[in-house]
Amino acid sequence: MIRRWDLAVDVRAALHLVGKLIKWFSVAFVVPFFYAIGAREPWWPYALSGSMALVGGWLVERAARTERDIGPREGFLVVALAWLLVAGLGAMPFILLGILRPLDAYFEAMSGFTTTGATVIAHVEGLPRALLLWRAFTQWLGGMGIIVLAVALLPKLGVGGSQLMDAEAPGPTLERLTPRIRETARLLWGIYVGLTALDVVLLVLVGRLSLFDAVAHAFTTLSTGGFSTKDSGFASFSPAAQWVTVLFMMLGGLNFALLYRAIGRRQPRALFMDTEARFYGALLLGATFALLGSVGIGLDNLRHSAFQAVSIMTTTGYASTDFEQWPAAAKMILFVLMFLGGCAGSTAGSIKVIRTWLVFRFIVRETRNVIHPQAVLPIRVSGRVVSEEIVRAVAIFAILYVTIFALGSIVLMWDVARVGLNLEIIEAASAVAATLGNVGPGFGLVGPMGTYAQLPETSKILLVFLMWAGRLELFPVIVLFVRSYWKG
Amino acid sequence: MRVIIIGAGEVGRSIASALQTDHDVVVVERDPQRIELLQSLDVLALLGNGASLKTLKDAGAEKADLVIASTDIDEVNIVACASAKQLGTKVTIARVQDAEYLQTWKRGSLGVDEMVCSELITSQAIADVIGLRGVRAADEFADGKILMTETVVEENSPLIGLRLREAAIPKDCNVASIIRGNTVIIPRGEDHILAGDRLVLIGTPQAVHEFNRRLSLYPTVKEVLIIGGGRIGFRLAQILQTRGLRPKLIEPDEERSRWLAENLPHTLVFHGDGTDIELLEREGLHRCDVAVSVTGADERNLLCGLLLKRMGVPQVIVRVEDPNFITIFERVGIDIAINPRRLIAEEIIKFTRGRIEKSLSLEEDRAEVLEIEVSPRSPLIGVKLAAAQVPAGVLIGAIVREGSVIIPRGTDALQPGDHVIVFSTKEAAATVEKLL
Repeated sequence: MIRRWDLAVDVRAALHLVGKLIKWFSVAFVVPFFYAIGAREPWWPYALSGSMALVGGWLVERAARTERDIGPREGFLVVALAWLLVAGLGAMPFILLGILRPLDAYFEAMSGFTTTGATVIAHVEGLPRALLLWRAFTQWLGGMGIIVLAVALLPKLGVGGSQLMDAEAPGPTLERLTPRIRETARLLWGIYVGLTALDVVLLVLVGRLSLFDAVAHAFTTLSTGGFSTKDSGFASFSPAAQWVTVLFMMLGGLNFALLYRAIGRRQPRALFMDTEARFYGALLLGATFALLGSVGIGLDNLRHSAFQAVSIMTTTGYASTDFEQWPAAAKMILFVLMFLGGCAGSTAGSIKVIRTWLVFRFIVRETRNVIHPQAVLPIRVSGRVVSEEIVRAVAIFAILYVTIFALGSIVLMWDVARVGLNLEIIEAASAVAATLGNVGPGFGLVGPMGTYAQLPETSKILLVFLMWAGRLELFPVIVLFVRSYWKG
Repeated sequence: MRVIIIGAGEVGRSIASALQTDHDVVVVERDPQRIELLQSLDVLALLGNGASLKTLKDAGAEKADLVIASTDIDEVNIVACASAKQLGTKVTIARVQDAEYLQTWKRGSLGVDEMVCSELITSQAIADVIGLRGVRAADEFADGKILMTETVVEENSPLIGLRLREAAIPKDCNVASIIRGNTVIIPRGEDHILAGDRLVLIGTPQAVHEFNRRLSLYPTVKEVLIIGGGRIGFRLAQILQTRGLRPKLIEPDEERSRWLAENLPHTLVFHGDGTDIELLEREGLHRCDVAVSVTGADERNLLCGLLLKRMGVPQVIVRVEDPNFITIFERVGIDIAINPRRLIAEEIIKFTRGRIEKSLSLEEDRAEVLEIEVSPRSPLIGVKLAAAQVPAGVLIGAIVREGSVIIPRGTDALQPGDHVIVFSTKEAAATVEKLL
């Protein structure tokens, strides 16, 4: 038996905080609950799920009552556990309505909160609208991060808050905009809410979407999630709506701290001075024209190329057309884009542009050092020197990411073969890349018009794990499996 | 004026020797041996700590017009100035080596009225002569708007034999004097340019550089190698970067080289030794246009300088701390040896002249260059220079009027408030201040 004082991690303090987060998370169910009442749909699943969160969270918080604050170690545990449990609660409405079996529901909910957008539901148009709203809402909550939201709104979470946000926030750096972490969290959420509202307005006015569709898609656009209320996704909306969405997906993939400086402090030049944002823009532009070259020149093809390049690279995962039908070269480009992701501090997943850039500079530097062995060559981003520790950490992250992708693909191939399902290499690899990078759709069986439903249960568990680890950027999850994390 | 100099090192001694004839000079020094060295000067030498209130009182700081703190320790100099100011000294000047202090200090703060920074002055002086192979010395006036250089006319110069007015001198550049052998000529347009002459040029930096290039047949500088990444090396690289050059720098200390690389984005820093021939050859560093060695050790600078000269570098500039070495270094093959202490002493001495903002002597006092503000009572005001009664041996080299530079021709006239740079032979020097 492990005695508490044998552990280096204060599990009690961590559980206390997790309980508190879950308790407050119950408030999220208010949104589908009231919509269901208004739309005369079954409302009790949301009430029941919310009550479970409230009571369960409260019980855990009570049982693990402590005065101790959490440190960085506990931060990892809190974030990892909170995301697992929130996905569990988010799955409840799917189960209670009898629409999905528990594992499928959990897959769908994890795909929601991690803003992946991979689905096991073939026919979403048949779902209750309150459930569709809930599905989109989970992505919106997960996009900026449930922890960031909690830090912004909940009293007394400020102390351990920065530890938590460090563990949850996407990208190697969390830029503090204000000295108080709580203010920073509020500013980030403020930008997020504002952009979402603007997207709703534009989708209704310019894109001619119904208010319901506009809200649901704004939720999943800014969060770079990718869930749609239509079976054929964005293919069923107007070109204008698609262009609007291209813009807002790009915004969702930008660093929100940078967006705050550009919009909140009225320094739009900041966007063009930032190395990462420039590289991000250049990659999107390059990818768009590479796709256009592969699928053939044309105005419609330009729109689809831009839409698909932005959608996949920002890890949103919408489809404006069935890109499964595109030539192999175009599909390969999309596959590579899955690994790039958006900017640090955005709602996008995957490796992130800044890491790609740093790894590229690292390679250039090492090459130059072969030619000039004694030259001292620091690596700079936006004119500032990046410390060697960060460069190393980024390189290791990239290696770890690709390793997990490779191992995950092998395991997935074995597992589907075990049940007699025949997956192409690109299908399996894209399924792993799309879940680990929180993109959503892959190719073939799991393509833009397909679903993950046919995969065996064990594979779904693997992919749930990948979505979870990918959203938390590997390390908070990986450390939980390291002995020295628990043993001092 | 009653002047107190604190610290009788190289700097303090040369200031004392420059001021002894016209002013009452008291020198405070802690080291008895250095006091001995002052016996040859007409100054009062006091043994004691210049930062202590008691010593300052003994030296008469309460009634002093000027205190110059010139020890080798920056903090002592600042404290000495602050103390003297408190006692009632009118003006205080502190010499500092670290430019950081210059940033902290604002004119008059900390009890320091003027602060002169040796690392900045030295690196600027080096930067001024970089790429000008024939240039023996360079000085700036009017905050860098005007540059004066002393340039040797080399054997192969295409200008030899021409009269000055035939030499197509750029519009914003003037030949202020010709040093030929032991004589200083204040030239007119009819004078010839001969091989071995040294021309003193004055004008805007661009025009002077342009003419210098023609005099010494030297191509535009692209590659500069700096050896030693101390304060001077660092500042020099910064100055060169602002000129759009991408200098290369060798620094032996690993941590320092990392720091340099981080703070000099356009400089390629090597971690290594300036005498490492393998490094120099592998990186092609000996193919640079100019090499500058500014480590803290004179012998090392000489060694690096000679090595690079031997490897074919056209211009080699080194820093030399021991004033006795300056001429020796230049005799054995170094193109220009720069002595930071002499530069700082000149910079400090210029503060002791009232209306005269800067003064330099050419050729061991045979001629003088003054930067001076024109008095409203000057007889030259409003008179065209061609018609004015300017004595022989005096030449007005440049005028700074409301921030812009004018290289005067016969049709220009002086206005009150103009700053002028005047050349004069030793004989005519006395008339200059009355004239302006």
